[in-house]
Amino acid sequence: MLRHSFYAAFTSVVLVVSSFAASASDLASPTGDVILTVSGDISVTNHDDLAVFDLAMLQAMDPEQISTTTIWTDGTQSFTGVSLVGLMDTLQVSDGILKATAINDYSVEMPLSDAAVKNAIVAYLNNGAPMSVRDKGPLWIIFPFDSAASFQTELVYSRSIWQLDRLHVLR
Amino acid sequence: MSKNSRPSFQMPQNKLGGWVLALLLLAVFAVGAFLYAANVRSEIDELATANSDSTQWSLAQTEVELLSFENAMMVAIADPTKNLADVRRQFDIFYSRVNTIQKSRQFSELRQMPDAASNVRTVQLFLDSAVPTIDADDATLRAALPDLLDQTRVLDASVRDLSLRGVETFAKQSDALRTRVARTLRQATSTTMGLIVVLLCLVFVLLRMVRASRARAVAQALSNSRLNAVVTTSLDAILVVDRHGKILVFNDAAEQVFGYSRSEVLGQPMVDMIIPESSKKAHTAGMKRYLETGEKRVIGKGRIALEAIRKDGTVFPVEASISSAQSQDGEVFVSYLRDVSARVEAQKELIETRDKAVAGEKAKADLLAVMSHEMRTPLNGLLGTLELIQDTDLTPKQRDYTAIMAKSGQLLLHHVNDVLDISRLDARKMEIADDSFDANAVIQDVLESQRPVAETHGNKLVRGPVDKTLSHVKGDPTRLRQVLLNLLGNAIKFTNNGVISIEAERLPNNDRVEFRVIDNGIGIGETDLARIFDDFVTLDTSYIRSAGGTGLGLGIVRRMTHAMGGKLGVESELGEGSLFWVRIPLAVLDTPLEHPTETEQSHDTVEMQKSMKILLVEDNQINRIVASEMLAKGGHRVTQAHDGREGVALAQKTRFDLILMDISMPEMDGVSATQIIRSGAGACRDVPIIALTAHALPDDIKRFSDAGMNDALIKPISKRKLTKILSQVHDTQSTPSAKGRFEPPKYELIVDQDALGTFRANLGAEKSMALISDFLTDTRTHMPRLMVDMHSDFDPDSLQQDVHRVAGSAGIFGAVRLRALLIDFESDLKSSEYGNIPRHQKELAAVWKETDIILSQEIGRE
Repeated sequence: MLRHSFYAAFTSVVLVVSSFAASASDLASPTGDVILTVSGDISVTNHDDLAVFDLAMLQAMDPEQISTTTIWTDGTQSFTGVSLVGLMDTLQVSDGILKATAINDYSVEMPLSDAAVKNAIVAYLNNGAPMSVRDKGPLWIIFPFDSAASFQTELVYSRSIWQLDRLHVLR
Repeated sequence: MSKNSRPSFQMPQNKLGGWVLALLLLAVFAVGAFLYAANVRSEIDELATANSDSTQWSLAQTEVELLSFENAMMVAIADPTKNLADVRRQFDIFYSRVNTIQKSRQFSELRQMPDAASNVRTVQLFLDSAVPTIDADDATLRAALPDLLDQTRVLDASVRDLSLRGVETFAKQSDALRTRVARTLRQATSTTMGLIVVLLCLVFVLLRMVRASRARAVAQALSNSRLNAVVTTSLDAILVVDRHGKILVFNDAAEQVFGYSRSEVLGQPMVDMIIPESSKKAHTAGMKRYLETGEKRVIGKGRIALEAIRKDGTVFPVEASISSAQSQDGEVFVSYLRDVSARVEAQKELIETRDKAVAGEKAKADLLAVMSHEMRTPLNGLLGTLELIQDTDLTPKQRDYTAIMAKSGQLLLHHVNDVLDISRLDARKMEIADDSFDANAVIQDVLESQRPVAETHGNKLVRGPVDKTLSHVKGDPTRLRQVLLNLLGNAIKFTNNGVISIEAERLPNNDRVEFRVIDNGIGIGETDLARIFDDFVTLDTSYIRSAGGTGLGLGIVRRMTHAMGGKLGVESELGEGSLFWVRIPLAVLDTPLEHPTETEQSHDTVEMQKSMKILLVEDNQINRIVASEMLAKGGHRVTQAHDGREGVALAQKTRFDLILMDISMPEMDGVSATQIIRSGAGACRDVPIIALTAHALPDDIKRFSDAGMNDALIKPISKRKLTKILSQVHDTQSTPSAKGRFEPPKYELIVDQDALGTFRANLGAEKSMALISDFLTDTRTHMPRLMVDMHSDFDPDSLQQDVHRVAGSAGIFGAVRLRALLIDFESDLKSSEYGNIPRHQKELAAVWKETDIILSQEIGRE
C-alpha cells in the first residue's frame, strides 16, 4: 500500500514535470474542429494569444469520470471529461477567475480557488457518447452533485454551464 | 449553617428528580432544535436549489432562443449565399432548451400544468418534425426555410404562454416555500428559545448550587474552626479514635494529661498509649464486641469511671464520656477524659476524715454505754448487799446511814440508767413496741409509784378525769411509763408543798393522746423554755444540785416521744408552775384487754409464797450471793451454779421449780445453756427459766424468748422484782388457765394432741391404736408399783427403773404431763430426795387417771 502510494506520488510528479515541460515548450495545435477557446491572462497559447482545443486534444489529457444525477437530466448520468483544474494547469493557470461562456451566450464566472470548482470537470462524453449541441454539448462543466450537499446549491448549478465553448482567464 | 442544613440534607431525593427532569427537557429541546436546524437548513437549501432566477431565466431564454432561431432563418432567407451553420446552431440551442424543459426536474411542476404541457408538446412536435429538415443538406434546408419560419412564428404564442405560465408557477412555488421556511424558522426559533430557557434555568440552578455549596463550605470552615477551638481549648483531654483504635485527634489538654506530644500518638493504637496494662484485655474485648455486635456498654452511657496511664507509667483515675460519630473515614469514637486524681484523692481524704469522726463518735458512745453498764454491776452488788444489811439487826444510826447509802445508790443507778437510755436511743437501739395495753393503768401505776416521793416534798398527786378510750390501746407501755415517770419526777423535784396532776385525753378524731403533767411549782423562765429538752440542761444549778439530776431526764423524754412518733411541749411561767404535754399516737383497740385480776401492788404484799426449788446460774459472785440470800430469805431452796456449763449439768440431773439464768457468762452464756436445757430430755426441760440481764433491749428479749426463756429480770436485782417474778411463776403453776407474760408451760397439757397425731400418722390408725392399748394395759399394771409405800417395801433403784420406763413410753403417746411428772420423780429418786416421793405419787395418781381417760377415749373414738 505504502509502496503503491509512493509509486503513485512518484508517477504524478513525473507527469506534472513532463506536462510542465511540454506546456513550457508549446501547446499542440488542433487538427479537428475547435470546440474550446481559452483567452485572457494565459501564458501558454497555440493560436496567437489564445489556447484552442479540439476534442482529440482534450481526450489526450487525463480523463476523469463523474457519475451523478443532474437537475436537468433524467436518471443517473455518467460524464467523462478533463478536470477543470488540470486543464488550467496545462495552461499554467493556478489562480484567478474563469469566465465561462456558452454557445447560446450564457456566461458565468467562477474562481479557481473555489472548493466546488476544484472538483469540476469539463465533460465531453455523456454516458460514453459525445454530446451534440442539442444534448447540451459539446462540452459541459459538471460537478459531482450527488457526492455532497455543497454541490447542490444554486451557485454551483449556475456554474454548471452547458454548450461551453469559451473560457476567459482573469487574474 | 443550620438554616441551610435542612434543604441540603433533603437534596438527594428531591433534586435527583429535578435533575432528571431538567436533563430530559434539555435533551428534548436539544433534539428539537437540532431537527429544526436541519429542517431550516434543508428548507433554505431547497430555497437555494430551487432558486427560480436561473429557472425563470432558462424559461425566458426559450423565447429568446426561439427568436434567435427565427432571426437566423430570416437572415438566411434574405441572403441565399449565407452559410446555414448559424441556423442549425440556433436550432440546436433551442432544441436543447426545450429538451431541458422537458426533462429537468426544475420544470416538473410546470410540466404538470395542462396548458403548459400542451404548449411543450406543441413545441416538441415542431422540433421533431423540423429535425430531418435541419439535418438535411443545405439546399433542402434552404428551400424549407420560409416554411420553417412560418411554423416557427406560430410557435411564438405557445412559447410566450409557457414562459408566462412558468413565471406564475415559480412565483407561487417561491411563495409557498418562503411561507414554509418562515414557519420552520419560527418553530426553530421557539425551540431554540425553549432550549435557551432550559439552559438558563440550569445555569440559575447551578449558580444557586455553587453559591449554596460555597456558603456551606464557608459555614463548614467556620464550624470546623470553632470545633477546633473547642477541642484545643478544652480543659478535658479529647481523643478521637477510629474503628481500629488508632488515635486521630489528641488535643492540648490530652498532651498535658497524658504527657505525650501529639506527634507521638497520632496514628498509634490508643490501647498501647493510654490504657493501663490491667485494663487492656477488657478494652480490646469491649472494642471487639462493639464492632461485632454493635452492643454499647460504655459508648454513649454518660460518665464512667476508668483508669488511664500516663507516659511516665503512672496510673490515674479518669472520668470518661465516650460517644461514637460518623466521619468521612467511617465511624469514630470521641472520648472526653477528665483527670480526676485530685478529686478522688480529696474524696478519699474526706471519707477517711468522716470515718474517723464517726469512729470517734462511736467510740465515745460505746465508752459511755460500756461504762454505764460496767458501773451497774458493782452498783447492783452494793445495793443488794445494802438490802441484806438492812435486814439484819442494826442500830438506829446504822439504819439511817444505810438508808442514805441506799438512796444515794438508787440515785446513782438512776443516772447511769439515764445515760444508758440516751446512748441506746441515739444509737437507735431502742425499738418501740406495738403492744396492746391499758394506758389508764399505766398512769395509775406511775402515780402510785411516785406518791411516796411526792409526799416527801409535801406534794399532792392528782389524777384528771379518766378517758375510757385509753383503756385498751396499741403502743409501747414501757416507754410511755418512762416518759410519764420522768415528767412526773421532774414536776415533783421542782414543786414543794404543791399540787401535781396528770391528765390524759384523746384528741378529737385522732389516734393521738395528749398527756399533761401540770404543777404549780417554781416554773421556767421564758428564755429557758426553748432549751429545756436539750441534754444536760440544768436551769438552776444550785437547786438542781440539791434536787439531784443529770439534766438528762427531759432529753430522754424528748427522744422517747419522738421515737414513738409523738410531739411534746411545755408552757410555763416563773413562780406559777409548768405544764408539760406529750402527744403520742395510741390507736384504740377494738377488743378489750384481759385485765390481770391482781395489781402489782398485791404481789408486793404477798409475803408468804410457796417454797420453791430454784437453780441460780450466775458467774458473778456478788450477784450470786445477793440473789441467793434474797431467795433464801423468801423461804426458797437455792442451788447455785457458777457458770452455764455447771447450770446445764445440774438442770439435766435434777428437776427445779425455777431457773434464774444470767445471760453473760464466760464459756457458755445463758442463752446457749437455756437452749441445751430445753432441747435435751433433761429433768428441767419444761421448767420456767428467767433471764438475769443488764441488757433488756427488744432484740435481746426476742433472743431470750427464742432460746426458750420465759421472762427476763433486769438487773440490778431487788427484792421487789424478785418477789414479783416468783409470784408470777407460782401463779402460773397453780392456776394453769391464767395467762401471764409467760408462754403456757407445756406440762399444763395432759395429752399433747399434736404429738399423738404425729404418732398416729406415722404408724397408721390400726397399729397406733394397738400400741396405745398396749401402753394403757402396761401402765395400768405398773402403776401400783410406782405407788409403792416408801416406808415399807421400798427399793429406790427398781422404782427409778419403773418410773423411767413409763416416762419413756408416755413421751411417745403425747402424754406430756405424765412424762413431766415422771421425769421430775425420777430426778428426785436419782438425787435421793426421797422426801418428795409422796408428793410425786399423789400428783402421779391424779395425772394418770386423766391420761388414762383421754387415751382410752382416743382408742374408743376410732
